[in-house]
Amino acid sequence: MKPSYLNDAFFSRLEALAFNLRKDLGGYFGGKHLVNTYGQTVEFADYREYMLGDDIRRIDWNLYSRFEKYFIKLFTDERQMHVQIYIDCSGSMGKVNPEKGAYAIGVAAAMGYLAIHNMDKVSYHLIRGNKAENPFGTIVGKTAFFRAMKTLDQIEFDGEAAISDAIIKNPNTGTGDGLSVIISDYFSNDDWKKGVDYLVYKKKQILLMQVFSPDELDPTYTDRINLIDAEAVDMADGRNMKLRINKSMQLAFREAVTAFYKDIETFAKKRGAAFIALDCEKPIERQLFAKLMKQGTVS
Amino acid sequence: MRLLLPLGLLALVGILVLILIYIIKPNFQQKLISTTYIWKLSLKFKKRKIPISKLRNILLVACQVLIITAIAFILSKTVLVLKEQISQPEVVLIIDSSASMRTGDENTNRYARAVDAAVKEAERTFDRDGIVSVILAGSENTYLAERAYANSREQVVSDMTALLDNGTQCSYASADMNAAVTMTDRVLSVNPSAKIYLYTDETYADLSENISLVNVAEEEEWNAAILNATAIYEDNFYTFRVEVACYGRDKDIPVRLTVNGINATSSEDKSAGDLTMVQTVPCMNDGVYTVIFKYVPEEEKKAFVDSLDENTVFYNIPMEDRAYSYQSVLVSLDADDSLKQDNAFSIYGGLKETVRIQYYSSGSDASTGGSLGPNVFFQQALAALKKNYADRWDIQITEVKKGNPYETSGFDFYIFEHDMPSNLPTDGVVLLADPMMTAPADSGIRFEKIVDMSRNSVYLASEETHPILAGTTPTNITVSRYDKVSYDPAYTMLLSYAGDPMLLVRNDSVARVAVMCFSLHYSNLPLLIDFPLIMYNMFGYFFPATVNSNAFETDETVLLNCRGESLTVSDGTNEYVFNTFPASMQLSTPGSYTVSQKTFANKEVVETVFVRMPRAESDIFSEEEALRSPYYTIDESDYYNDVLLYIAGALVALLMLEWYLQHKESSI
Repeated sequence: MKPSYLNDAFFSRLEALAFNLRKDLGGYFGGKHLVNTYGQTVEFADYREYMLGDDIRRIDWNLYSRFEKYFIKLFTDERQMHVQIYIDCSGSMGKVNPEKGAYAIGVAAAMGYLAIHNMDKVSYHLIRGNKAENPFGTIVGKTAFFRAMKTLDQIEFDGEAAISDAIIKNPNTGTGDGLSVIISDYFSNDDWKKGVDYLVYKKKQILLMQVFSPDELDPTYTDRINLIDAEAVDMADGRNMKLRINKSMQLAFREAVTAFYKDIETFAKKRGAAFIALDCEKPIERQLFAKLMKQGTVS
Repeated sequence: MRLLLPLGLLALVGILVLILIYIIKPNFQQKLISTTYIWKLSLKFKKRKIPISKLRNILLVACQVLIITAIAFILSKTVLVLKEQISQPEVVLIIDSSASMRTGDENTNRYARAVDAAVKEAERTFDRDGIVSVILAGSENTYLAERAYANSREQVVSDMTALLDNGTQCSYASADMNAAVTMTDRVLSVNPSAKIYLYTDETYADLSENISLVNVAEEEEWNAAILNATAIYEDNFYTFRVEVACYGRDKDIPVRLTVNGINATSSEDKSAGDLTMVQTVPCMNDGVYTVIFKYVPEEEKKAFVDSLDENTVFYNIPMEDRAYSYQSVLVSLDADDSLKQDNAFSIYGGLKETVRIQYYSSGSDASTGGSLGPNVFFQQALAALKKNYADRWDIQITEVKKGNPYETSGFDFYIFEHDMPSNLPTDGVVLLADPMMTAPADSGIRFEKIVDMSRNSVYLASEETHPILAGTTPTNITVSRYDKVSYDPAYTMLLSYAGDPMLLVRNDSVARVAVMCFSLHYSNLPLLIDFPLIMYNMFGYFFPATVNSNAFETDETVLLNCRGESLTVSDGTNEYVFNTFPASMQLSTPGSYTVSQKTFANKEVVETVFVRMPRAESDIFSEEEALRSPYYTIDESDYYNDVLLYIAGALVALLMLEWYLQHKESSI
């Protein structure tokens, strides 16, 4: 039976958290996220000299009496963010290990709920091939969210996923309007980094979430193995590998894993993105809370 | 290298299994995984595969193949061949050539049958390309052919057939069959599977499985035999005892005893007559019967006959035919049996040779002028000598007292005490006792002086081991005065004091002389047992018995002594001359042998001895308890050197190497 994390108990445990987004983001609608721009809230932010065109009702007369200059009061602004969640729906995410796929959906749901709960809007982009499907549109409000979740829980992981192409070709990427979460295992030959660069270009706050299964990083099989890639089309597919796994190969594998993470972390750091890796066999809340809070993405 | 258990090589099938395993081994087990991305990435970090890795794989496979091979060799009992086992048929043919094998009729006898059967067996073996050894078993066993192959067939068959040529090569003696079987060890040591065929007339209660006995005896054969015959001198007359037996048949056997030259005075005495006596003996159940030819007075006859056992037959010699001497006795059987050689027996020694001894003593001690008369010690010693040699010699002693003329010829042994003759007698042995003042001119002895120790006795020393001193203790002999003499180098000094000769002896063609350089009056010698011993030994030394018996068995070694320069032994056909004594001779043919010699005293002495067949050979159906088992062993260690240890060592080394390679293979 396909595992599922999407239940009330799961969502209830997320209610205490909220996204901690960058303040240089902006949006079109009011929300709960404080931004660097000045707005119409009641919370004082700063003063500036009056300029032609300013609303004279916002002149602080008390300052005028002191300095005989016109100063206008500025107030903080709070905006609604757009959380875009890209889910890698390739075979590697759940074809072999449904637990991993369910875990990824659970993570996506958790991230979406955090956004919905904080009055943000959410959109899910299911990456299949070189396209990012958006089956639910932009979700605002819990009712729409839970309706979407029922469908999200049913998605299948199969085929390939070209993350960069899917992101770049996504017409609703938006610019500087929120958080882009990419949930994948990043075990792909596709140059997903281009997609991230594109999101950086779009001034999106980026959260790279990797879901992995422990046996992917520490395989227990040895000897002569014909490794069949879950995304392989057939046996002749170039992704399949014939390997004689011995100690030296295992050592190389470990080195490759280390290099892989070092590369991805370095890349994320350079791009100002956050990166967390989630073990699908460990409790999802514990990992989310611990790692996202450590990253500062949620608070 | 040889495999004792070639089936063990079936283990080599393991190599095929190994190859099969390598072939069908799922080289690449399929494994569906989420992604091979990291694996592809890891290839960059994989250390470059060095060529030795391929070599290691080859070594690993080679090791495994070698391990299986080593196991196969261990299972196959691989050995090093030290010597090859012989697959050809091989026989050892032992032909008994003992005297009993002469049993048979004029046309054929057991020996001929044995040779024929052996020839046929040899030819059969050669037909199968086999190896043949032939041993002729007699008193001495010889290889007629030893491990002869088929290419020697003609020679072997010819040699075997020749055993029947020139009369017969069958011996008259017993065959040492155990020694013959022992000789087969040489063949068996090369080929333990060689089959031994024994062609004989004897049967054995216990016979080794490796020996096949071919009995060449026939049931209708029988043998009446004289087993032994003796003449016993008792109550001044001879009694004759003859042992007879009849084997293979119960039969009354007439025993004929002929005394030639009865009561003759010498061997040349032609006046003596012959006496023939015949006594029939009822021989039954292969028993041994004794016939006694003896004079028993009529009044004692019944008691004597009653005292005899059931296997003893008595023939009473008439009183007037009693024999106190004889020239020869011929015992014969009137029997037409299958073995003739034991049907006659001769007894010699009925006449004793006379030895005349002259003892002359001056009976005075010239130095003191006293008159002591004949030396009683010499008298007693000569009496003892006569008694002890009575069974062989008729010793006649002539004592010449002082004042009477002594003889220097006509005697065999001269003893001069104190007074010496002017010249040595030439026809006999001379003992010069105390050659005081003078010695015979031609004796080679020259008197020098009298050495007197004023009654202080000195002990003599022995110069060498000599038959004359046998049994004596010369160092117990003391003298207080002696005659210092110089002597010819032909003499041998037996006793001495301070380098001066005390007892000299010479025995050659020139002279046979003994010189005692001291007077018995000035010595403790006559009080010791050594004196009669020296006299006894001296007589035996100068008058040795030509032969020590008058009857011998065939192939018995006869010791011959001579009182002259040469001795001739004749069997009537051949003559054998001996010049070095004591000589030995093996008399291989039964019958009478004449031993003649001319003594140094120019006396012709002729003696006759009889050589008979061994009595055991007369029993032509004898059965022995057991025959020696031939030494043979199929101990493989004689043929092979087990290399199990080495292969096991190699196996362990290969296993360790294989383990090491596997370890390296998995760790790289």
